[in-house]
Amino acid sequence: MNLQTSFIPAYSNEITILMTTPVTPKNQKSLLPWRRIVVWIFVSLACCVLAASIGSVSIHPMETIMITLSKFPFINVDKTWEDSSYTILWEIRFPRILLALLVGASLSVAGATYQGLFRNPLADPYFIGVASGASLGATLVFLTNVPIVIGNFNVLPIAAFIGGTGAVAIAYKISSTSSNTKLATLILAGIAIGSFTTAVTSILMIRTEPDLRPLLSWIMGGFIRATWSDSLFLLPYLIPSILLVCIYSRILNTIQLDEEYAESLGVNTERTKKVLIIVSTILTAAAVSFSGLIGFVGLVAPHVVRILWGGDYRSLIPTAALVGGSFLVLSDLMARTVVSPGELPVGIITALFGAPFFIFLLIKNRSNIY
Amino acid sequence: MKSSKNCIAVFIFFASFVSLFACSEVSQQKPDPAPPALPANVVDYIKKKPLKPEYPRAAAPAEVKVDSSKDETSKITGIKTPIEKKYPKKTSSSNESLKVTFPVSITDIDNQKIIFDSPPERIIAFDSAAVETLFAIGEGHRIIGTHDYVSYPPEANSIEKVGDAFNMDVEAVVGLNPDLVYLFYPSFKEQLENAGLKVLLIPTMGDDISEMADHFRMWGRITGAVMEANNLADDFESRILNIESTLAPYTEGPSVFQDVGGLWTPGNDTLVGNVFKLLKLQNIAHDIDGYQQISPEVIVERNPQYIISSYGDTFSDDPKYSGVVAVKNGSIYIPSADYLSISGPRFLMGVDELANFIYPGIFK
Repeated sequence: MNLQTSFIPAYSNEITILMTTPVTPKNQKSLLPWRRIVVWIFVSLACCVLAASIGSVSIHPMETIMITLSKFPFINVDKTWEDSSYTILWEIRFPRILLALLVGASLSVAGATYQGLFRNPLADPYFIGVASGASLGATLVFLTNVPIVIGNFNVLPIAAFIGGTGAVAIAYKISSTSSNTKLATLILAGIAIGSFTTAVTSILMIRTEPDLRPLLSWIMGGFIRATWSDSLFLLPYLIPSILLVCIYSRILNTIQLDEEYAESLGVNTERTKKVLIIVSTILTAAAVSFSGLIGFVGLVAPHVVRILWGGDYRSLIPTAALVGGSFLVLSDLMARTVVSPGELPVGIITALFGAPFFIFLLIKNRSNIY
Repeated sequence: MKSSKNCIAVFIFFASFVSLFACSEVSQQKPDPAPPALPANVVDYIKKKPLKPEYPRAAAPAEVKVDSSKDETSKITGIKTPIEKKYPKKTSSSNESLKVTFPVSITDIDNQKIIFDSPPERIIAFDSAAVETLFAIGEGHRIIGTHDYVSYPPEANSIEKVGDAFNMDVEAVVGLNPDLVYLFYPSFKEQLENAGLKVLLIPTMGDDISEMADHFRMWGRITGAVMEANNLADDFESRILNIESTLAPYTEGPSVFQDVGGLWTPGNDTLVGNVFKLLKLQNIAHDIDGYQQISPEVIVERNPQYIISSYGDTFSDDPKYSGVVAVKNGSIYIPSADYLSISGPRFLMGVDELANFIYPGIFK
């Protein structure tokens, strides 16, 4: 396995490779840039604290601190706060922040994985049909008379999850023969199935009752419905999936060169493709099912990390997760405060403020990327 | 050196978030915009009506009012003489004015006069409210086409459908050879006029409840069924006056929040917002323009006494709202039908239903 890392710099100069910057000796010395990751963990925490202390209802910082402290074990805090402040902070803001962090992280990891796997800078988490499949699932729930909540059981995320994973499963089935999976075919099949399900969604939308606001705000994405149970439901999907991608990040580095070449190094590319596609699809579908279609984060967070700190997937994956998570926490903060007491769909904010920043980075670094 | 520049870029980016937030704090304090003035042309066609102030209003004993206008008991009876500045008797029908003399001129939204030499016989009414109104005044037989979402009255189901509410099949409309096409939004007006059709464009879904009665009268003038239309309009207005006078003793009603799905809620400058004003309900989303999603934090803080949840109860089981008065008291109202979304004759059924839920036993 040590051979892989030494081969990459040698070949990357000869073959035109997307998204691989030479592995520098510095990277070879320490496997992971722990310092950067620790710094970003603190930045993410700072974003969460900022997001917790600001909202459309203003809560005194002292109250915020006391309520937060009261949740730690072994700390006794006298109850001096209003019940409504407690509910707003504990039942509304904290779940939202946690969900935004998790969704941002998983979309970024899924985006980075697809970009690496398909060796395509345009790839985002919705590349092979997850988004349109999930929209179809959600649309069916919204527009038929199925109640969105049956007892304590929320139907909407389940339907979106099934729709999203189903669309990718079909695309995968189309593109794989018994021996191997053609990634180019997978992309095309994914796009075809995506267009088809989008068309079905549109037909359903224009042929049924005209009050589409709830559906449209789901499609534009947001965390307005976030509850603790959503986040707790997502965690068992997200944490193992992100860890699995981290484990595969070495192999992602090798795949950047060429599939055949990676195979000659002893990489089981078929298994890698299968595992990474399944993991990223689950990551994306789980994130989408609770938050709707939040664009831009999954495409851009990996690119930002790549531009700023290089394309080694071993460090790119964890850093992109933290950057994407913090970005989405701040975007959600904007979404719920800019037009307070109203809310904006967070997807608007991510593109409105993320795109100019990304363009700035592109201009600044245009001489030395790709 | 390079990485430090990048760090600065990242810092600037995150700092911009904070500064933008600071800006938003300031903009929050902007004064509420004044409600938009009613465009004069919308009500123009009413001014042309002959004014006959003698028309007797339903069950309004004038003596009671004079004697005891400030007496508590009279308020409880719920019958007050409807003398209000807000709803003047613009039009009333005595037997004389029941016949309309053609040609009739109706002013549309663009201030164009649409002249009717005789009642149109083949109307395409591309609007639920217009279809309901025409059937209510007994002129439903004139409608030959409408859109997919029109489902009331039952007779409307057999009318030919020429598109859904937002996509008109213009070819089908032209093929039906109508002598009037009624629209409530402008998208297809030019196309239809170019095809040589007579088009009447008047938005029915304004935010003023009293406008609805004017629309009923307008249809009466167009179809010649003036008496029926005036009865419908007068009944509509007297029911509103009845609600107003019944609620006159109440200075401030309970606070209310309406969720039309996904926490979208109507602000004050909407039709529903005006229904809340009529019922003296304090809309917790009073500072929202039009329809918008409201922050759940704001719902908890403003603590509504009633929640109107249009698509089923999504509040009772949600831990976020367990402290809200409406949830504690079980005061969650789920409308039996979507009356309030169609500004036709059934609109007041929605208002009555809501009024009876919030003020049980007060209305007769």
